[in-house]
Amino acid sequence: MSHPIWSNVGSWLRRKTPLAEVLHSLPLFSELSASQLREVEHIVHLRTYSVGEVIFHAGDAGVAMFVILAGKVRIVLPGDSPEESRELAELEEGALFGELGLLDSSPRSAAAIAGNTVEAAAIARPDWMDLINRRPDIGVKMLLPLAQMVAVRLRIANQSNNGKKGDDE
Amino acid sequence: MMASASAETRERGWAPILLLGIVVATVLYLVRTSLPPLILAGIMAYLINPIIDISERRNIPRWASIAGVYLLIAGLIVLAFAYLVPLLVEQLQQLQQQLKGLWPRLPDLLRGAQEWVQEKIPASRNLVGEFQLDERAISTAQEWASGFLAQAPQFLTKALTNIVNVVSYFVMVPFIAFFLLRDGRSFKRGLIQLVPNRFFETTLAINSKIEEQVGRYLRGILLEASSIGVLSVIGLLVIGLDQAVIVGVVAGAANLVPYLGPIVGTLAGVLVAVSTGGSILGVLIVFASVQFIDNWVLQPVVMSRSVRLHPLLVFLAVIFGGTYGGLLGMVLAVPLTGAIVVTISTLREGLKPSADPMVRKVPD
Repeated sequence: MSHPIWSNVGSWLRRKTPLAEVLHSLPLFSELSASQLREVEHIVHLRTYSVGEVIFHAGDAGVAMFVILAGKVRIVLPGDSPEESRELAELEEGALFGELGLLDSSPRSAAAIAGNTVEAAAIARPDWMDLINRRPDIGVKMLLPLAQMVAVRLRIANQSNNGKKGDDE
Repeated sequence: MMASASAETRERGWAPILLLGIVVATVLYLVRTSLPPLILAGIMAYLINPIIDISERRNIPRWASIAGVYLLIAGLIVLAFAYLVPLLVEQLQQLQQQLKGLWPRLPDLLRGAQEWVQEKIPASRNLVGEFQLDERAISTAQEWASGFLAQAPQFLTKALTNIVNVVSYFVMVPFIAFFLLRDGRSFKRGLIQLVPNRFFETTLAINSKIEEQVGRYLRGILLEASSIGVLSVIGLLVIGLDQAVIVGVVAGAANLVPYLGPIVGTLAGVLVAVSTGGSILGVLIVFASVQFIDNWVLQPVVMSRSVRLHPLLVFLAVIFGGTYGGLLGMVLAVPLTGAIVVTISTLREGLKPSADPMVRKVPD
């Protein structure tokens, strides 16, 4: 049986903050160890948005990815007038959005608006790139899940395109 | 529901940014006298940071690699004081003696130059007519020069009383730089925390572009200036100029300021050549060659992907920096102008006045 002091050290090393717990529950961060999650936490920006506040506009250059810690976020596709706009999804606590902002600065495809008071954790591309550069071990564990997320999106987009083509024909 | 959300969306405009810019500029102006150590610490942190990042990749804690780099720098400074500084002092003293010896010969040298010009270009004789350098003009020049030299001891004492200032810089700058290197990211995160939500992503974009470009410029210019210094010293040693090291060091250091470097280096070299009887043509050839290597090899390699500014803008920025910030202002003129240009261009991209998230943006 190990000495209690070692089990204390072990539990301290495995200890996670509430933010780390939320991050760890997401596929993008699930492979990271407690100490690696602490490194990620160091680059997280905590933001609070009031109801109706725009998190980002469609067409804006994406720089960051957001994780909802509390509240609801509406993802809206703008139209030619407010009435023609379409709500694509309502995301809740623990959801992740704007993840393509981690890869490049291409324009956001939809707007994100706070449905009520939203607390979000944002990770900026430059900070993330810097982290990957400094800690490739973290980069390796995050890049594969991110690629998988993008692959799923691509597949869904392809299917919906094929569906549309089928409708046209 | 959507209409109410869009109604609550705030207007995104230039006014708050302009106001913030004015506030920041005013605060910086008010604390300008205490800024130099902070700026120097910032530059030091920028220059060292890549080394610290590389060691972090090898799982060395930041504080340990910072301590290692500091020890290395301290060692280099000790070496410089042991070898380079005595050499520079010796060469300076020699130069002073030679310049003193130059004064009595000045009338002959000037007359010689006049005769040489009149011999080579006979037309110039008609141009200046019977004008001759008279004794009075020469003695006025000598008085002016000796008056200048007489002030030198006073200048030196003043510089020595400033040594307290220099020592405090030697302590303060690395101290501040240590914390910038270790906790710089937390400081940055704390500052970004203060930014309103609607400017959040734009601020992130501006910050990363400035960091990238300014860091690249500072590291590049330091590498360029050191290379020019070394090349000049080698060239001047080859032509056998007496104070090759000091002239080379001056030329290298002056290259931190755009446009000023080649002029200062060449002038210093020519002055030394005249006073020691060295080859003026040799000095000119050395500096022309160094300039050639700088323009065709160093600058394209070192400064590529760094901020691109119009030469006129660089020139004006250097003059402005020199007027308001002295030597440090001249060195920092280009990176600061680059930062301002990057900020304005990113703001222009990020702050299109389409405020309604429900309405599709009309392409420009």
